[in-house]
Amino acid sequence: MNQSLFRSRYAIVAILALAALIAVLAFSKADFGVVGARSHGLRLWTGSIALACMLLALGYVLRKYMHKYGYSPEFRLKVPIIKLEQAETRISEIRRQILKGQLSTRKEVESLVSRALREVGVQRIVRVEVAEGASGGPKFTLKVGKAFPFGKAAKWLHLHLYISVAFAFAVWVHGGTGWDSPLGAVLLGFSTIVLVTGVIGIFLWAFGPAWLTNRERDLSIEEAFVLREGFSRKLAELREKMEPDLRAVLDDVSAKGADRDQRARVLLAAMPAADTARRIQLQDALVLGGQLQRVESEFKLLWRTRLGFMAWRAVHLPAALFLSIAVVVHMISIAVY
Amino acid sequence: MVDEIKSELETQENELIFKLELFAGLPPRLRKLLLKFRRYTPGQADAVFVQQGEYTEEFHYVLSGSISAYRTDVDGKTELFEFLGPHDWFGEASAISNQPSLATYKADAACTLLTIDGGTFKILYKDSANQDFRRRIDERYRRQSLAAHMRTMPVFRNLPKDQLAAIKSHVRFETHPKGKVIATEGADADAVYMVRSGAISCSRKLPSGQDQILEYHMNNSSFGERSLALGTTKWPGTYTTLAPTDVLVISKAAVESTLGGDAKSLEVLQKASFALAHEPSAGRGVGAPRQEKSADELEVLVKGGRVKGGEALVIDLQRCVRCNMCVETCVAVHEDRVPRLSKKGQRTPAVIELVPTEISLATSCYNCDIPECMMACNYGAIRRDSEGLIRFVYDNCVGCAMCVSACPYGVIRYTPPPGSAPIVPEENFLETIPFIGHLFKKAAPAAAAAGVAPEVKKADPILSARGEKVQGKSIKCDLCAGLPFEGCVYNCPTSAISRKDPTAIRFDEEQIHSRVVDGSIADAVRGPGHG
Repeated sequence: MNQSLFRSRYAIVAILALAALIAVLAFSKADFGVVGARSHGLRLWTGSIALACMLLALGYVLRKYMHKYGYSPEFRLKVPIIKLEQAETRISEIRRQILKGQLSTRKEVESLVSRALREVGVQRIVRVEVAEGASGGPKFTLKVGKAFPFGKAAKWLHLHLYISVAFAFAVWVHGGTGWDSPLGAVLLGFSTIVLVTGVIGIFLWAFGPAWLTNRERDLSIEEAFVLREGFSRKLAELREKMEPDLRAVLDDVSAKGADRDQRARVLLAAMPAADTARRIQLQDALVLGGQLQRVESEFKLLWRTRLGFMAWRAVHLPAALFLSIAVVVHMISIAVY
Repeated sequence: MVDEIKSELETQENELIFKLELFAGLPPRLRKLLLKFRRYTPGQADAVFVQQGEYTEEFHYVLSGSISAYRTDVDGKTELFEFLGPHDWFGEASAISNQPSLATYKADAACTLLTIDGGTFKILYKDSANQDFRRRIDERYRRQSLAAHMRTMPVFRNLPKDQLAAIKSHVRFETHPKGKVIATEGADADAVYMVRSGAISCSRKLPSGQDQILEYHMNNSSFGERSLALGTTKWPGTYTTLAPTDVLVISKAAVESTLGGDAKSLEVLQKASFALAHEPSAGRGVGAPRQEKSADELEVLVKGGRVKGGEALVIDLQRCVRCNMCVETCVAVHEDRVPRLSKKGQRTPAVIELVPTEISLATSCYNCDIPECMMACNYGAIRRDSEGLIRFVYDNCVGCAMCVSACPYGVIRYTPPPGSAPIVPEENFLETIPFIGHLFKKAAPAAAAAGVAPEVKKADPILSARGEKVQGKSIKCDLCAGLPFEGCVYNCPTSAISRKDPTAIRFDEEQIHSRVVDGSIADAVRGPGHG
């Protein structure tokens, strides 16, 4: 089980957002779901909080796809390798100074490292951690790593999860039980769908990988996929090379299902011994077919398991898309009317 | 009758071969070997036997005719430097060291050569009972090829021709048995070495007492250039022969005495040495204490060959939702759209953040302490850099793919040759929509459906992290060099993938032990080649 999905500092952000909403409700002495009836100002406040939460939640999606297609700003930070090597030389020099006892305080080391990185121009690429050294060794050790400037995707996912919960609450506070208008119904309906599928998704993502891993005893899903593709291609190539009558025999055997192996044996036995080339061709194709069948069944099992914990996205993503469109329409309508 | 004549002719021919001065002293067993593997290479006038720079391992002895030898120097000028007639020979540097030919040999008139393959030649050359043969070969090599061979060493690349010729007379030819220490870590570096044949390892002692291999030196690889720099320099590691090894030794004292009166040449040499002094010297992990491992754990590590690992890319399978974002990001990071990451790897139970789980050690480069790829590379194209990472030197890579088969983890891949289609084609955004994406996939071209080979779209050049073109060469994970992130680690939505020191991974001993006991360890520890 992936417990890390349920532990995040963004939960604090979400709690703060919820607290702000509750405070708004408390100070305005409004009943839940009837905010708008009391004040337009309150409705704008809660709507703004809901919108901010939604934009933050969408940030994860935006980051993910921008990175996938190479449009993310981090790509522009790339530096030539020579600069990294220069930085490493400078850091090695600092290590030597530490070893000789010329640098005694952590602050001194940190300022030297920071200056070295800045001068070489890799301060946004490389991060150097200064740690106390083990006894008998140098006083400080320097660990060079990547800077990860915008935070890992996992953090963005946490933000997405917890802020989405705050968003849902904000929507309910903002819209209450306003199902009576078509747009209100659409907004509330899609918000509910997105939230419910998202929560289901989190639990499925927490438990699903373990289900799949437990079933991947003989082959991993990736291996099964690659083998299936490979066998299919080879079989298709072999089938293309066969003479039409032999191809018909192969198709006939392949369609036999459970009796396939028995039927194949009978056919091979019936083939004239002198017909070696054709015999080998058919034998190869039957063996490949058998392997493909076994890999196929393994892959289907694993694929179904994967589908079991990924299927929620089939509802979550389109619903989120429609919700975003509905929010835009809602804002335009407010601005216009 | 025909057989008798044939046999008679063969006997006469054999007698003639051993009347040649070079082969006259061969002992009987080497004569047999020579007769078994020799062949004759005829050539008409203007026929080119070998081009300069061509990879060849053959040794040629001129039986008849005449040959001109041309050499193009670093300044781009080509000159005729030798005429070869009967009883001359060429190709000894290539046969001994796999050195690309140092000259172009062209027939002036019809001629016949006695050709010996590199393997046979090495046996003849190295046999202790055949010292006369070796002496003759070395004499001619010193006279005709040594300067050109030395020119292949970066430190001598820009040295004037006359100075190089002066230095070559001081070069010592040495042969060392296996296990001989040539230079010791921390001692004063006093010579430049070039390996002619054999192998030498350079290792340094870690504070834990373990040896860490810094680099291997094989044919045509040189070390000790830093000794020529101004002042005293130390050997960065201990150099030990891994097999019987032939080396060329150019002592610092000899170079200084030769160039003593020529300050300009000495300065050129010292500058080149200084630049090379910043070559690999320090390994990673110095000062990091290695943790002791339990017996079961060690068994698993040894079975999987993982104890050699420097840093491993670990996938926590209880967290990995198989979204493939890691591979997709790897594709996005590399302009050639060739992913360096493959998710297949060894699987084993472990404990991460106190939670029992199963991990997979993905096939990203482990930067092994003893890198087998480096050992397999005959062309010095794999080195350890100053950060301790294993890097390719593409100028030296000939695309032989020996490293691909030598890597025990299947990490190294061979790139498609020039002109082939990219491995991962550009995808349409709509194709990526979950569940319905396949509806937007482009239909197979009609030509392909009709069985006609589709036209291959010319791919963008495949570039290394340094921007070198690497089509038809080996590539491996470059840790997203130059970028502020490692794509796979950065973009995993569930933190399932991370880079860890294998010694810092807590393996689930109970699970491993139970699997060892019930015999299912093979399932738990899948070999790198599995699947």
